[in-house]
Order: sequence, then structure tokens, then C-alpha cells
Amino acid sequence: MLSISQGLFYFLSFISVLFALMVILAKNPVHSVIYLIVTFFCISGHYFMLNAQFLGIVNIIVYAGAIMVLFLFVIMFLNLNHETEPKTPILAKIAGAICGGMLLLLVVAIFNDTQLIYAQNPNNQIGLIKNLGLVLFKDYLFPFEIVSILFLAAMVGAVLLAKKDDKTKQSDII
Amino acid sequence: MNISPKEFLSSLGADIIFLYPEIFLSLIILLYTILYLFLDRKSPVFEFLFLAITIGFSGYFFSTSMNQVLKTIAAGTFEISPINSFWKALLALTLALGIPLFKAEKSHSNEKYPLQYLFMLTMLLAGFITISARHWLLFFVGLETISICSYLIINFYFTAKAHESALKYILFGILASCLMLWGISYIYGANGHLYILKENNCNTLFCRLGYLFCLSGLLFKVTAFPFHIWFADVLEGASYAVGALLSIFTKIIGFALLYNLLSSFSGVLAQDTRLILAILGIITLVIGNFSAIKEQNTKRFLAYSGIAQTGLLIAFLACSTPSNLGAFIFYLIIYTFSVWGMFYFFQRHENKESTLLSSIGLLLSMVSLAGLPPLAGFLAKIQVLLGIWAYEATPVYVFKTLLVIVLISTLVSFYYYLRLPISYIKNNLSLPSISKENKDFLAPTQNDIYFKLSSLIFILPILLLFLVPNLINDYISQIITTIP
Repeated sequence: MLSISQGLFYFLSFISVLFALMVILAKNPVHSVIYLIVTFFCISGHYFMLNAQFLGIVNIIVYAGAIMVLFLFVIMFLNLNHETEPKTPILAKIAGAICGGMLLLLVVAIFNDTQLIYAQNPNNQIGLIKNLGLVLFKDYLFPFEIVSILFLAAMVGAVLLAKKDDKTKQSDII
Repeated sequence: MNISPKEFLSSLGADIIFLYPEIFLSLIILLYTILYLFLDRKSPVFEFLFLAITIGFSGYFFSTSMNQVLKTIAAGTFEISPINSFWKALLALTLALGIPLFKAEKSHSNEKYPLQYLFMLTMLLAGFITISARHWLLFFVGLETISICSYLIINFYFTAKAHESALKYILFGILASCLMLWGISYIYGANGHLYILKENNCNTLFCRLGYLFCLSGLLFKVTAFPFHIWFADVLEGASYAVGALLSIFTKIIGFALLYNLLSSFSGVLAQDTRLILAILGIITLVIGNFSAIKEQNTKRFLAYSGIAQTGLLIAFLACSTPSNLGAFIFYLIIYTFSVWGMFYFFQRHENKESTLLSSIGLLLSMVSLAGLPPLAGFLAKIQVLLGIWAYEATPVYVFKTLLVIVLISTLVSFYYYLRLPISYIKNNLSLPSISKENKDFLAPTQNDIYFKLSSLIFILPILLLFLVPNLINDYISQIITTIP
């Protein structure tokens, strides 16, 4: 008999795989985005079940919130729909299916072959924000500081790309 | 048990001294950002500062590399060693050599121009960190910083074509990063930690798949086979200076990291990786060389010849041993000078400043890349070929096929490297395929003395190092002795 958490696990997994498939199979790109949001919520549910609340909330805020809104915005902005979608050649579809299928086969075979090692005394508090902060500011302070350099470059770059330049001709801009 | 940054610094203790170059460079980057806000954008201060920093770092790392001892700091995430110092010196030198090309494009550019140097300095810092990284988290963050800076730097051409190139680069780059992150998660699953140890061996296929995915991020940087598609498209839209930066700087980082990773592998993992690299090398060589033969567009030709060079180096990495590493380093140094030279002289031609000096310069740098005798490229190539010839590994047919393909592609490369300079000389000092759109973007005329000097910077080393290779060979052999 399944316990509640196991039942929840299977339910969330089923929903997330189902909606992930529907993201690909949906004809309308706006529907795809909405299905993707459902998938993200299911994945966040998994994080909550693993007692990783911080990760779950960040997943919702960043992915389901910010990035998906951006996706929707771009899709509506570009007015993508079924007619404007470029036709994929049948050969490319077959090649893609073969490559993807082989990768899937490889991954499944490898997981079949591998014996997973489980942690001896798992710390179930590890996903809490307090512990995450301690690790981030203690063990990984150096990578954390390096990320600030990355953000500086990205920020300056965003300003560079977004700010209109007087000397660049209008015709040169896409 | 709260810990403040100050406490962290004190926990580093005496080790903080090893991080001074990186800390200093971060401060310079901040200073640069502030200077950009307050100084006149056309001011030459930006270039001088950039040149001083890169030459300074290059000199510092070259001179101190022999004094370094193998040491890991910052909780085992950061490694100091002579070979790492050498790679850092080479990276700084590479950027310093790019100044003539970037300066030639200055006058066409708009006032955002100095930011280009800011991004290059950031790339340099990220390069320093990634090369020393002994932890996958640090490694990934450094590599992503390099990628983001290179996406941005392509946009400095300010044409629709350049924006298209940048977008293609971003899409391919994200694919490679995702694969790498996937691989890192597998490695964590298999090892239980993210440290890049000295001796990495894994018996499970699961772990080996993780390392294979991790290699993809680096193969993208060096434009090897499954990840080579972006290179021609991106170079077509980028300016010559940025194109050269992508084909030298990111490649050197990629090869240094590939070498670092490969040397940390052992057992089955090392065997597998070598086999994969050998097969990828064969395919890359074939694709690069045969695409370069029939390519008419200059920039796409430069890209395909770059892919062919990558194929050779990947092939050599598959056959590398600690004793023949010298050939690899020598090749990369010569490659740096030759490719910067090649792009520089092409830039001069598109600029309609065809002089005898620039045509000779183009001929020399291309002959050096092809690997013909009176130039240092010959020495580099023969060492690499000998290294591949002498290497023996278990699936003999793969490595022998590799050798045959390498020899054939060397022959083929003679044709396409000599075709352009010769046709150029024939056609009364003008290239057959000058695209009109590029012409407006180059500076009208430059100081002649300045041009002669910068030509000498590119030509002299490849001539001189053929006659007296011991100028750097002594240094290289000293570096190699430090490798355990």
C-alpha cells in the first residue's frame, strides 16, 4: 500500500511528465507556455516534498513567475502561430527522432546498469534556507563572489544592448 | 555560527596572497567601469590601461610561474601551479596582442567602444579563475562568465548581421552549457562531491556519461565537431578583431581546460576520453579542411581553417603524454601569433590599405599556420605530428586512422592557406572577395609607423622562433618538469 508521500510523489511525477509532453505536442505556443508553468509547479512540489522549501519557492518565483512571463511576452510580441511556424523537413524530423531516441536509450541503459549509492546519514534539514546560506557564505564564498563579476558584466551588457545609440542608423537595427 | 567575509578572509590566512592577481584584476574592472562613466569615451586612457594591465599580468605570470609550488587554496577549490600560471600568462598575452586590431576598428565605432575592453578584462579574470578551478561550481561560473562576455562583445559591430550572429552564439552556447550542467549533476550523483580531484576514475557508465557531457561545454569553446556549427555563422557577422578573439582567446581557454581535465583523468575514464577525442578529432579535421577548400567568403574561410586547426589540436590532445606536452604549448604560442597576424592583415586588406608589407605579412602568417619550413609554424606542426605518430594506444586502428587523416589534412591545408595569398598577389594586391559592407567600418588611414610596428609584432616572433626556438623551449621544458 502506498503511503501518502509516495502517492503524492507518483501523482506529481505523472502530472509533470504529462504536461511536459503537452508542452511539445501543443499546437499553440501560448498553450505550451501554460503547460510549462504547470510542469514547473509540479517540480516545485517535488522540492517541497524533499524539504527544500527555498528551492521550491525560488523555482516558482524565477521560472514560473519571471521567465514564463517573459516567454509569454515574447511569443505575443512576435505573434507566433501555426501559419508562421517554419516547416521542418521530414528528414530532419526522422534524424531528430533517431538521435533523441538513441540518447534516451543510452540514458536508460546506463541507469539500468548503475547501482545508486545512498547517503549514510542524510541530513533532511539541508534544503532549508538557513543551511543553504551557511554553505553559500562559508564553503562556497569564493564562487559566490565570482558570480558578482558575472552579474556586473551581464548588467553592463544589458544596458549596452538596451540603450539606443544616436550614431547607429535606424536601418542597421533589426 | 555566522561567518562574515572578514572571517572568511582570515580563514584563508596566508593563502590570500595567492589570490592577489585575481583580486587586483577585479578592482581594475571596477575602476574601468567608473572611468567609463566619467572620462571622455574617445580618450586613449582606456587602451593604455588595457594594454598595461594585460602586458603586466602576462609578465607577472611568466616571471613568477617557475616559483609557484603546487597548492590548493580556498577550501580546495582553487589551485596554484606553474602550468596554470603559464596558461594565465598566455591568456593575458593573447589579449595584449589584440590591441592593433581593436584600435583599427575604433574610429568607426560609437561611444560605447571602451566597454569592449571592460568585457575583455572580465573574460581574462574569468579565464584566470576557470583555469585554476578545482571545483565544478567555480569552473561552471567562470566558463559562463566567459560565454556571457563573448556574447556581448560580438554586438560591438553594431550591424543587424552582428546581432544575428550574437543570437546564434547565445543559442548554441546555452545548449552546450545545459549539457555541461547536466553532466555536472551526474558527476555529483556518482561521486557525492564536486571537487575535480587529481586522480579521477570512474567505473560506472553513469559517471563516464557525466564527464562526457562536461566535455561538451569545452568542445563548444574550442569549436570541435558536434559543436562547430556556430563558428562560421558567428564569425561572418563579427568584426575581424572580435573574430580573432573568438578563434584565439576562447580556444586557448578551452584547450587549457581540456588539458587540465584530461590530466586529472585516470584509468578507464582517461582511455575512454582519449578515444572519444580521437574520433572527434578525425571528424573535425575532415569537416574543417574540406569546408575550407571550397569556401569563398573570407570570414567563413577563416572560421573553417580555425576548425581544422582545432581538429589537429584535439587529435594531439588525444595522444598527449606528459612528455610531449611541450609540443602542445609551443603550438598554441605560435598559433596565437599567426592567427592574430592573419586576421590583422586581412583587416588591412578590407581597409583598402594594401601595401607590400601587409601582403607579405599575410603570406607569412598563413604559411606559418600551414606549417612550412622557414617559419616557426613548421617546428610546431612537426612536433605535433611526431607526437601523434609516436603515440600508441589500444584501439590501434582508430589512432592510425587519426594519423593518416592528420597527414592528409596537412597536405590539404597547404592548398587553401597558400591559395589566398597567392591569388591576392596575382590580382594586383587586392583580394578576390572583399565584401562592400565591411569597408565602411574600418578606420580610414592609420599612421604608417604604427602599422609597421604592429606588423612586426606579429611577423617577428614567427620568424625568430624558427631560427632560435630555444628562446621559449627552455622555458617550456622547465614548465614540463614541474608537472607531477
